[in-house]
Amino acid sequence: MPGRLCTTLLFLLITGLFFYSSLGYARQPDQKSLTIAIGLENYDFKPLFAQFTRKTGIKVKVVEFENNSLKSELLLRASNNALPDGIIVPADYMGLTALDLSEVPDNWLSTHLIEQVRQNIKANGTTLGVPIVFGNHLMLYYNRALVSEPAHSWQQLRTQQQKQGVNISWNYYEMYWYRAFLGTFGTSLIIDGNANLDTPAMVNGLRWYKSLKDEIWLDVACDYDCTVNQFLSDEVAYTINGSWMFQRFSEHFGDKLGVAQLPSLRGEPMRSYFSSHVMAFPDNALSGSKSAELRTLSEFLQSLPVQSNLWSSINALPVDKRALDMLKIQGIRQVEALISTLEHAQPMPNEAQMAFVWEAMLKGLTRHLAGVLDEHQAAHFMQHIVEKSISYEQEKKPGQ
Amino acid sequence: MSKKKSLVSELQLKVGAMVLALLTIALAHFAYSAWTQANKIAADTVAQRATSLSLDIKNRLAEFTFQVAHYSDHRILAELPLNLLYTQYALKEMRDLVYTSPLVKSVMISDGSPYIVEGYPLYTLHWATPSIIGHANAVINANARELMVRKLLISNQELGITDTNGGTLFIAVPLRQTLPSLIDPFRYTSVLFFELDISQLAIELADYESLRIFSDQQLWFDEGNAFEEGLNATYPIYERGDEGLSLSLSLSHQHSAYTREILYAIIRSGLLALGVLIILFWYLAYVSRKVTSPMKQLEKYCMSLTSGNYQQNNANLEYEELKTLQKTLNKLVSTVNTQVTQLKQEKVRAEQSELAKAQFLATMSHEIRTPMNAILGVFQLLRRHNQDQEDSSLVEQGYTSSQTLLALVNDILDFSKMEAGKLTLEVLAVDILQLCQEVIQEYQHLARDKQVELKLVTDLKPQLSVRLADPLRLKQILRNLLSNAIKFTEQGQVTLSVQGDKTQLVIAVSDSGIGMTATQVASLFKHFQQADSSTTRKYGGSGLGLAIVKQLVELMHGEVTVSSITGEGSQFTISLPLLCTKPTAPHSPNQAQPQVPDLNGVNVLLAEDNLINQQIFAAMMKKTHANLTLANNGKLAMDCFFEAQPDLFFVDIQMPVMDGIEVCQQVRNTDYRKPLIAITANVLPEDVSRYLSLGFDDFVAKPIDMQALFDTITRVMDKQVQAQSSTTKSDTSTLDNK
Repeated sequence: MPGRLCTTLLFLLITGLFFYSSLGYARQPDQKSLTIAIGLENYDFKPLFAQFTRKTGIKVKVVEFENNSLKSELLLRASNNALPDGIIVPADYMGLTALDLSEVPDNWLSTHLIEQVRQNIKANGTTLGVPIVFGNHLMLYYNRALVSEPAHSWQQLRTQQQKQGVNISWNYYEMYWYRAFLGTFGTSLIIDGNANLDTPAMVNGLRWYKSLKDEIWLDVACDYDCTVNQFLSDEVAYTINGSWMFQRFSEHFGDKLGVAQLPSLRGEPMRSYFSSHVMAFPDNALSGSKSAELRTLSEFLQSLPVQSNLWSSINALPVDKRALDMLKIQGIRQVEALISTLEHAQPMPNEAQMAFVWEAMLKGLTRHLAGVLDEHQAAHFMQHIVEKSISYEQEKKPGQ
Repeated sequence: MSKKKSLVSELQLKVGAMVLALLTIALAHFAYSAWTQANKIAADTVAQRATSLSLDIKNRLAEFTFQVAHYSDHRILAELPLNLLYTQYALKEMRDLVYTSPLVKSVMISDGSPYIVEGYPLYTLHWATPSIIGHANAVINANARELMVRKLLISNQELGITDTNGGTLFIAVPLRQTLPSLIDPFRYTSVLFFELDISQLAIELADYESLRIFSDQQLWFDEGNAFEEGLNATYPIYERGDEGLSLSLSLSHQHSAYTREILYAIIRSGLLALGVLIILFWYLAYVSRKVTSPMKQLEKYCMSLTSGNYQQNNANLEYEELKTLQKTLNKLVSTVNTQVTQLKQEKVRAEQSELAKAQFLATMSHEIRTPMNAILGVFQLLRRHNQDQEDSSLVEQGYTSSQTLLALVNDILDFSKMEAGKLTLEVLAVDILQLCQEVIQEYQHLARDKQVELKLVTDLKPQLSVRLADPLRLKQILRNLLSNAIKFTEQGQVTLSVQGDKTQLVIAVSDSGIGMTATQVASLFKHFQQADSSTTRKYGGSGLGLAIVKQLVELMHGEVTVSSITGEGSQFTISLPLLCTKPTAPHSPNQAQPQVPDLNGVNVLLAEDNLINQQIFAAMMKKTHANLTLANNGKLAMDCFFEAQPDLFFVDIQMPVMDGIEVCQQVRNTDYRKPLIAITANVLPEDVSRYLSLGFDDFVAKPIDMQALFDTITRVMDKQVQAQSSTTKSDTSTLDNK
């Protein structure tokens, strides 16, 4: 009798546990999620992701990196097979072959993309990203409370500095900024798919850039955050920053925020790169299990409602021509100013070599500024290491 | 000449010197021992410290090497020379290394090319030096299977660091890329150099330390000042071979760091010893004061004893030795007091005896004078009677003898007064030459009798003759000397010579007499002594004369000297400090013959208890023709006085029933203003002064010298006449006025 009772109780217990566990498993929702890496010095895409999650139920986890280390982090994670599902990066990142970016099918792309954008998202003839935001170029922001009329040239800047004590700051050691200075002297960094760094334009650019470092009124040691804070705290009247900062500066200064073309040097305009921010899919993510979710996100970000609301949500220019046209006809002064600053901007090359060019320029400029190499040696050094690195990259490919 | 020594000072000096010497020796011994020990400890300490530092540094470097060795397989860093895309990541990694590891001052990667692949901070980009490139190439080319983490000490000069000498130590970690090959599993791509910050090695040097770390070719680290004559120790950190670097450290310690405390201790000890000495000297001074104070007290007490103040000392003394001394002194005082008391008693007895003697002398003088008055009075009266030559000679001898006897009595009285110190001198203007002439005159008849020439010799100028002196006593001196000279000169001459200047008078009496031996001269001027006893027998005399002379001369602050040759004569020289003065009223020479006053019609009353004296007085007054009334005592005399007031009233002092003093008082209680004259044998000056102060107008000494009596009568009568005439004039003028 006791033996039967015990057997019955044990049976009931086991049955109960199985039922409970089955019920708990059934209660857990089938939560889909995506991991997206973005650079900190970028647009604030979080509101868009929140909107996406509300609409689709797909949760978006955002991993933020500093722009300087984003590239290295992605490469390191690529080697460790720990890449996110998607990355929102400038279009030139699509040249990083180590990321194994998935080719984006044409039917994923909006049929209303601006033509410049459509061209810009191709690397070596292949589309590796879904464009989201257009622009991404550098502009001259100024504080209207400190200067009523912006300087159009560096000579005017110096005059204002001497007379009014106003100052300017930018992220001096960041190559995206240096490239705008270098663009004053013409030439292209990549010609026919090859790096073109050992040029007179580079020599002149290095010489001018270093001469600015020697001008005591310029605080070149101020890094990105420092320059933003200086401008926000009225310590400087001018700052050179990207279009992605328009929203933040606008929220802070309101009508006091001014936007102008970058100052010219002896009549020659500074030329910033412009590009589009794209969503790319590393580690061949589109062949993976989250392809559907990624497509849903791509479609969401390219949809006309989202593109139309980009300005109002994150103060960014849309890549959808219809949305941009709608924005232009609204007569928003700031939008007009933002678009006008694109006048002298140049499209950023998105060849694979561009990623090496950025690093080579950084190393060469650093050595030149440190006095290790003169401008000619630095230009030569840049060319040397970029070719060496590309050569190594090409050697490595067969083994991979 | 011996220096005065103080017992206390000597004690202080010697005790202080002894303690000083002992302290100095002890201090020197302590200093030497401490110094030696400090040097030994210092040498051991430096050696231990060098070993400790060496091991510390070695451990820290080994620890750090272990910590960074794994970077050798860092894929990104190893691939950085080949892949530009890792630049940002590598830079971040290197920056983090510098920021997170205190020991790392900088990091750089060299692939053996002329460029530093990457480095942080920027200055490392300059360090593509031969040593760096060479080491990187050596590592890459060696392609060793084992990891070769090495240490490199490169001179700052090579690195272009000009602000400091020495070198920079690097930990060189080879960077290797993993290859998918079992034969060649690694490929060395570059070397990661860590510049070490020696300041973070936790080498904390004291200010007395100096440290050098160096290889056999290169100095790495040099901190602290080089010390001359410091204590040095060298110890190896790495021997060549095990780390590819021979590294040693040399430690130097400032010698004074070990000896400074010793020096301070010696100084403190010295100061302590000085303090001890000061306290010792203070204590010695304190004890000295405690000793010397009662000693001085006792000394003062002894001084008071020498002054005759024989009081017991009852001071409360602390020390037993001084108490003993105090007791001894008190016993001495007690003994002295006893003896003094005895002496005082003896003195009282002697004074009483002296008083008795004086009283006896006075009484005897009085008693002798009373009969002498009769004798001398009789002879004086007899001399005035015309007698034959033989009688006259006898009377004269009697008179002379009585005079001599009277002089003897006077000498005895004078001597007695001098002995008692009661003789006082008068100071009058005296014509010395006249005085000498008078004395010569007195002795002229005596010299003539002995056929001795007596003369006065002087070259004293008349203006220097008048001096301030006591004429009576001066005459007494001259009389004694002249009477002696005449007495001891049988033939020849006696000369009185007078000389002098304005302040000094020298009188010499020389004779051609018998002279004296030196022994006799030596005993002269002593009481009652003559040249020898035979002299007394032959020449007579009391022996008082020269003693009186000496006493009087000394009383006048002068001196008397004698020169004598036996058989040839003697010379007595008196030197007296008598000052010259202006002459006073001319002095009329004494009359050779006594002048008898005419008292015819004058009533004279004599109170005298002695009948013989009554008779002598009556006989002397007979020539004056006065009406003389005699009374046997004072009371009877007063009866007579009241019965008929006399014109002259002579009163003997010592009388039965009523003496002369009382008579004087009763007379002066009346309106009697006529002369009242005392007759007394008490001729001591104090007696005479007392009589005059009681109311007597004058006095006559007994025995009565008739001439003195007449002179006195004449004097008082003249005064009386003058008084009456002035009264008459006054009355007349009063009448006229009326």
